[in-house]
Amino acid sequence: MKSCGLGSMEKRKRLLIAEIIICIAIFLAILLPNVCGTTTQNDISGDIEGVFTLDGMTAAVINSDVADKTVHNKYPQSKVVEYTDVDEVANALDKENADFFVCSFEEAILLRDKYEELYILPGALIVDGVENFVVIKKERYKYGTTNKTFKDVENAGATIACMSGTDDQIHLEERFHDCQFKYYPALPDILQAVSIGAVDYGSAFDNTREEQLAQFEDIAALPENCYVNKFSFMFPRNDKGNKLCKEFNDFYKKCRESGVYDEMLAKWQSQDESKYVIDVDSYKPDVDNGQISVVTLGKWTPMSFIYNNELSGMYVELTYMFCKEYGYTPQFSIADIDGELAGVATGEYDMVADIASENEERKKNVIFSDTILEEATILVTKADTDAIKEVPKAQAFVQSIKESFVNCFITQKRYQMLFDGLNVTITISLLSILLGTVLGGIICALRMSGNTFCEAFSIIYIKLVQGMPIVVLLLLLFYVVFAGTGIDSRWICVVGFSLDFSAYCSEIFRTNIESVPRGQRIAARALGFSEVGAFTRVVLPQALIGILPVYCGQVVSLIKLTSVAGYIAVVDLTKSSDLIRSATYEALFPLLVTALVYFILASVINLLLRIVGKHYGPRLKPSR
Amino acid sequence: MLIKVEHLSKSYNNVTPIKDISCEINKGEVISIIGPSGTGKSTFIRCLNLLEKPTSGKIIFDGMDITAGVDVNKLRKRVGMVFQSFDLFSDKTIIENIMLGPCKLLKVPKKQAYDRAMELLRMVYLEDKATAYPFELSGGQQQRVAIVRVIAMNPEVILFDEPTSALDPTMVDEVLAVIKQLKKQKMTMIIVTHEMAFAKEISDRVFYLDEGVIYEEGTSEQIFDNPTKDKTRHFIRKMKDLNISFAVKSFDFYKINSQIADYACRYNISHNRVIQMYTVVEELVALKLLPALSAQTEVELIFSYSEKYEIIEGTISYKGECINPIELGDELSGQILKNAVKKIEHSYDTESKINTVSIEM
Ligand SMILES: Nc1ncnc2c1ncn2[C@@H]1O[C@H](COP(=O)(O)OP(=O)(O)OP(=O)(O)O)[C@@H](O)[C@H]1O
Ligand SMILES: [Mg+2]
Repeated sequence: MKSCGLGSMEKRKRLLIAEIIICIAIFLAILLPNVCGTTTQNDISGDIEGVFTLDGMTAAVINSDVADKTVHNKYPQSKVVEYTDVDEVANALDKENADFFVCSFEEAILLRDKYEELYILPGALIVDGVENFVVIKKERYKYGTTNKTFKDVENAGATIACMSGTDDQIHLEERFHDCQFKYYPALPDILQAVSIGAVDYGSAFDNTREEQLAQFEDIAALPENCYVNKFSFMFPRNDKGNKLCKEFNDFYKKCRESGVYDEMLAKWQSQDESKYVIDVDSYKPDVDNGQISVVTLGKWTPMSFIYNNELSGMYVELTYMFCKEYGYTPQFSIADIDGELAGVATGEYDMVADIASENEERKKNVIFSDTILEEATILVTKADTDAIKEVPKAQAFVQSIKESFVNCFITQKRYQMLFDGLNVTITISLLSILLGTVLGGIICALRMSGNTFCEAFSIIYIKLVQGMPIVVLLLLLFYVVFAGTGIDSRWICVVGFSLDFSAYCSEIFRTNIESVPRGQRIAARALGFSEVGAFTRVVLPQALIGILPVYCGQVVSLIKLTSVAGYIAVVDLTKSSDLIRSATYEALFPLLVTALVYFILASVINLLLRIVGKHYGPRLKPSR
Repeated sequence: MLIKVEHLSKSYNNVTPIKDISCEINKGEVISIIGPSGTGKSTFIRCLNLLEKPTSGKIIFDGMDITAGVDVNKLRKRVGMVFQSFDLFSDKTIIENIMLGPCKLLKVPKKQAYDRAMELLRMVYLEDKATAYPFELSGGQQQRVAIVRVIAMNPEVILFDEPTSALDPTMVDEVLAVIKQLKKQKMTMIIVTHEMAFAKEISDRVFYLDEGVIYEEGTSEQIFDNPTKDKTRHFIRKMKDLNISFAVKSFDFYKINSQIADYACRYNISHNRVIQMYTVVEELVALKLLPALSAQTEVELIFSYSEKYEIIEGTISYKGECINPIELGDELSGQILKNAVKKIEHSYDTESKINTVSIEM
């Protein structure tokens, strides 16, 4: 016996060492791809950021009619110089006598193909329905470049990342019918997918291009526009929605006319981050016309995003203004576009403070406000490598690691958001474990009650809950069962996870209780113990021996399962890291840290349960 | 009188193992209950501590009618029960098994309960196993602990349901010894058992249970040595039956002989005995009886063999007028038959019109 004890000690030690070695190996495996080989870094040296920054620079044109009009329209402060042929233009651009050249797409392609040092800027200039393009000297362009055009995309086999909740599906699939499509919930996800090479192309918006290109050095936009979206806010198709929509349209019109809208646009599009603040107190309504629940994306800088751990952005502020005007108090939730659409269609939300493209399909379910934004969809792809310089990965990694870390967690006190998320995750987990265990005990009691009806009920309950993916269960609770009740979605999470947990618990309880020989219960009864006494004194202590390890495992898996809470607009640990990821365009750190936190959380709870089990549980003696 | 049972019956959904049991049991008496399997012995004694709820009838324990809604937990503290399968609590040590009841139910202080438990363990020579777990004990040791666990509750009567059936033969005696010791201490006990020798030795009275009633009741000597009823005797003597029935017209001598040969083979019946049975079939049945009966008559032929007492009983029964086959037929076959058997008798029941020929070999 004694030598056996020593042996197991020895074995435990060896196990621990092996565990540590494996952990280090995994860590290295994640790290190595990031430090070995070379990576690309864009040499940001150019002074031209895109078609928006050209105003004031010298424009070159050949066909004076159309091009002239375009330049005057789009760049009123620019001087126009006329040239007679493309070679002359190329020369002028090279010598920087002219800064940019406005022409049709065909001409631009011709020019680019002839002169390698020239580049077509992404984004068409549309005047009177005619598209024109801008050609500049490549080395003056600030961002990654690509020579690809839609012709290249049309070549079969390319994979395109689209945004769900837009009309990408309709328009892109029609245009590039030989391509494959993947759907992502938000723009940052698409850009990340393009950056890591998961897809060949990604759809993006014309306006937000600069922001994206600044974040992703290795991404470049194709020159052409896919199609033009009309975006607007949404309201549910019910009386309240109708009323709100009408009020909002009036409000919005007034804003446009009075210039408030442009002021706001200037505020939120400025580079000055100190302006990204909403003074919520100043938007307290003077009259009280009740609350309205508003959902927004929270992932879209500068319209709806998290800044300094506060929901911020132009659309958020616009909503506050609107609410003040009509005496409402807004209650904000954060959800991805699918969640927004589903939620507003079922009346869960009274307003979507985020723009979605108008289409007929959607109009059946929701009401659109007046068009707020018209924007072209463009395609992005990986930038040509010759334009960017290669640096050893290790160097880049070490360089960027601190930067990334600071950017992800320190800047704007983003760690606070993680803590809040962690808090939510822990709260939901603990409550669900508690309620689920109690409920599981009740279901188990019903299951073993001997009453046919109770048994049938519990069997159906267990089968239904176990047979349903947890996400579907949560969505059902959120959009159907509790739709319109205004219950905090965190509570709905607790309900959902408790239901799920209880089904597993009750089966764990039942199988282990049944594994205790029946004779022992009867022997206890024969000694004079009551039914309850026999259960608690004789059956339960033995059942616990089998229950505890499985229960621990189930608890850990529940904690991990709570990571899907984001589906119903709960900002838990996973969702908050997701928000950081979309705000910083950094994937590694937020995900790594989140994984680590879950790991630690699970380990700690597991440890606690084991300690509790050792102190208060049964002695773990082998049974025959 | 400690226990009085009046017209007790117990039915399950589709069977009624106990139809009508009445009996009285005095303080200090040891009662054995014997009977074939499935006749409701367990059901009966489980009724006595209300582990089974009687369907009708009364059980009066110490002057109180326990079938009329009493506190069962209180009752069970006074009526202990030992099971076939020991049923020790497998997550608890031996001493904890014994102390659990006294401590939690009788609220005996821990120290006192411990001392008593150790004393009882000493009594069954298992003192050194106090801190062992049940799985570390042999079956016989476990059953002794189970008995001690019941005694620790100071019951007024102990019910045993086949306490040795699950044990290897080598361990039976150590458990029976403990029960014998309890008898010395004047404990009232009701024991369901298949250990006939033990039952005979220890019982003040024996109940033979069959057909849902106490079929025969008496002292050990009455039941074991001179049972008055057929079924009781069959059971006590562990008789093995061969049952053959046929209509006169389809009598098949060879088939019956081969059945007898099979039967003899199965129970190791000696060759001489087989010849005797053949003789009965040939001389008595084929030559004397059958010619006298009408072709439709149904005849039932039963042989019962007791290994212990080395005897075979034969019974031939048939319906109709009174016909005594012994008197029939020729002298010679009569002589052969008389040589083959010890005793042969004919009886006729005028009411049911059944002839019975009893043979002892
Ligand atoms: N809980 C029950 N439900 C239905 N029928 C039962 C139940 N318990 C016992 N029986 C039936 O009642 C009859 C008597 O059973 P019981 O166990 O009392 O017989 P026994 O005399 O103890 O037999 P053995 O000597 O084999 O233990 C059997 O036919 C059995 O099938
Ligand atoms: Mg039995």
